Amino acid sequence: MRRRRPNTRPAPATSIPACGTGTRPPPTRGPTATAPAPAPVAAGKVGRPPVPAATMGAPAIQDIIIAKQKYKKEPEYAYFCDTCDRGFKTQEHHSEHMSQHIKCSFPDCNFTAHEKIVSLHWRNSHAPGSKRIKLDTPEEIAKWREERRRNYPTQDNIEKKRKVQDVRKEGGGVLETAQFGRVRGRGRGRGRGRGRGNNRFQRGAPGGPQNHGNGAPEQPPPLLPATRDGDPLGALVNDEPDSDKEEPSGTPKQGGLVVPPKQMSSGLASLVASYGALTESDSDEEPQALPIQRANQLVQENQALLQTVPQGPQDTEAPLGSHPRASPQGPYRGRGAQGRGRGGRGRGRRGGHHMTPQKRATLLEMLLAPDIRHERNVLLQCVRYVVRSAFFGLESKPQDQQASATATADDDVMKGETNSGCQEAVAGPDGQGPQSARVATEEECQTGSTKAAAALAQEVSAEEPLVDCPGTSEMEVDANGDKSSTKETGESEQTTINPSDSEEKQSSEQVECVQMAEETPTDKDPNIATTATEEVTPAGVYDDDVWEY
Amino acid sequence: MADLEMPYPESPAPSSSSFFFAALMVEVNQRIPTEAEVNPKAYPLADANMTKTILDLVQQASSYKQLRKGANEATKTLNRGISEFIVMAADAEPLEIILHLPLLCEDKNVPYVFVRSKQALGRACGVSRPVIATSVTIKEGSQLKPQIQSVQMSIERLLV
Repeated sequence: MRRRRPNTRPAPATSIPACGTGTRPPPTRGPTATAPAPAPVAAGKVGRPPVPAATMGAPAIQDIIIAKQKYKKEPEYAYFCDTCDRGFKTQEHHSEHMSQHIKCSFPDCNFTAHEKIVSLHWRNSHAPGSKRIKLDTPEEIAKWREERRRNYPTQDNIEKKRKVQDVRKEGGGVLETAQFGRVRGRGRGRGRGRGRGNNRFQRGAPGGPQNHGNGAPEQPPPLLPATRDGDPLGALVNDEPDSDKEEPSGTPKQGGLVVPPKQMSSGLASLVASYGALTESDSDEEPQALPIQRANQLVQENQALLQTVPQGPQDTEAPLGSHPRASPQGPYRGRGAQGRGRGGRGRGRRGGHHMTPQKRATLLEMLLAPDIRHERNVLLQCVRYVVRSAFFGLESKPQDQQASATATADDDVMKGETNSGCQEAVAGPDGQGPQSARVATEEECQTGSTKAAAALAQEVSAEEPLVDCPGTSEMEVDANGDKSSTKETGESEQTTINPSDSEEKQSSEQVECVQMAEETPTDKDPNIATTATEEVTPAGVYDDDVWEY
Repeated sequence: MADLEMPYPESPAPSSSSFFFAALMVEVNQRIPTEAEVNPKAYPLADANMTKTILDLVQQASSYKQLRKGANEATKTLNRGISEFIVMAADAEPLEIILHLPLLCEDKNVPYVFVRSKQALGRACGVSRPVIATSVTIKEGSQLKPQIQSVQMSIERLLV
């Protein structure tokens, strides 16, 4: 269905219906609208109001020259392939191109184009995990229209949205749900992702003939790039290990790796861990109150784990009273015992060095994204509350950290925390580092955002290499990581947190080294070579664990 | 002159007085989308006058280098938060290839609108090819802001 191109020079009137303004003499509005384009520029430069209808003057000489140059730039093609958006000068070229057209392999899809275009189309419209906008029935269309009408970003709607957001911010909801959503993920991918596109391209190659396309960075990253063979169920099947990974990969690691991975990862990972434990029973219940109870169980579990696996200087008594406090910490340690796979994953997300973890959000994760966001917000709120109330005056007392081997003055803290319940408990680890806490308090008061939380973590780590902060700092860092919409942020966070890692985990450094050593060979694994070609991803390691065990 | 001022898509049945002009249009566009043909999924669809304003705006944006052409680029600008206004063509085929933009626009609080013809949009963009989506990007000291706002207002009136 070739249409005649509007590049016919001798027909100036052709442009009129398109551009619509009859106020200007048609000849100045060149057939390709290149000639009239400079006119408004001139108008703008002179300072005339940029109303197009008012700019009647003939284009200046330079403008004409520019127009000519522009005109030259656009070659005229006699033959055009619309679906591929390519022009050809000769019939032969065109027919040659047309002979290369293939049909989309998807059933009932009669899309026909060049192979690359078809693969792109496939990814757009048939790829598993890609969100399709399906508007087939009139009802759906009506619904769509109604939705658009209601949601259109009118001034009112924008204002409303802003207010809602403000209210949420006021209420402490600093995180946004979108982090798991497609739009956001897409945005990230888009923002930077040429490399990733190529990456995906290579990944897709071993798959079906449809998949290897030009890894156009525009496309929403499918859930599982490796499984784009055309079968959504295949994606699900292949996705399963992804979500199940945590448990199976955990157990075999217990003996060998008892050390928590890098701290930054652990916050997120611990949260993930707790979600993993929670989701079965918790999905229907109110996310606000219950997680804390569950955290209790978690802590118990972790205690059990920790008793079986003596670990470092701090293999202790996370007392039940302070369970929520321990909860950020407990899973963290427990996870260390369980396996570093998860840690690697969390780290990956935070570090922002690799996009793979982004794409790997499990279905469950996406499903529970709002709840997760809510819960994290609540946690952050707790932290904020504690910091704002100056750690309930605990900083004046000499304290040490409960988890450290030198912990002697625990009892005060513990009591306080036990009494004050969840909120205190969550922030308990903070309260134990007196000076750092003070500094952090100031900071937090100033900004009152998670940025401050990052600063807090930094301060804590800078002032005293304590082991007690991991809980909170993790959480806050976690929040930051979640919030950071850009890779840069993630990286900066990583840099800021790294020192604290090293300081806090002196004991665990060696094991980390071991971990690293383990990681490197795994990256060479063929499995990963296919999935992550460019980046050495912890996610890859994560994958590998599953493969190995 | 009155006929000349009438953008073609909005004149479903060109009057007999401008037969020659109509023939020209047919020749160029091969088919004139009539009201019935417009895809109902293209929701805020600009009417004749608005189309004119919008295409003029697009043209100006193009000359100010404040224009990104194509669905992909438009999506990029939205994601980067540098988009001020999105214009889409209702005769994109299939329309679904740009229907993610309205959602994205709503997410990013960017006004958007459909015009009928991708050819017209392409010409307004200053390219010879049809264009199915464009994004007017944000620029400091942009002179297009008031225009965009007025267009937005008229779209809002359209919605009610």
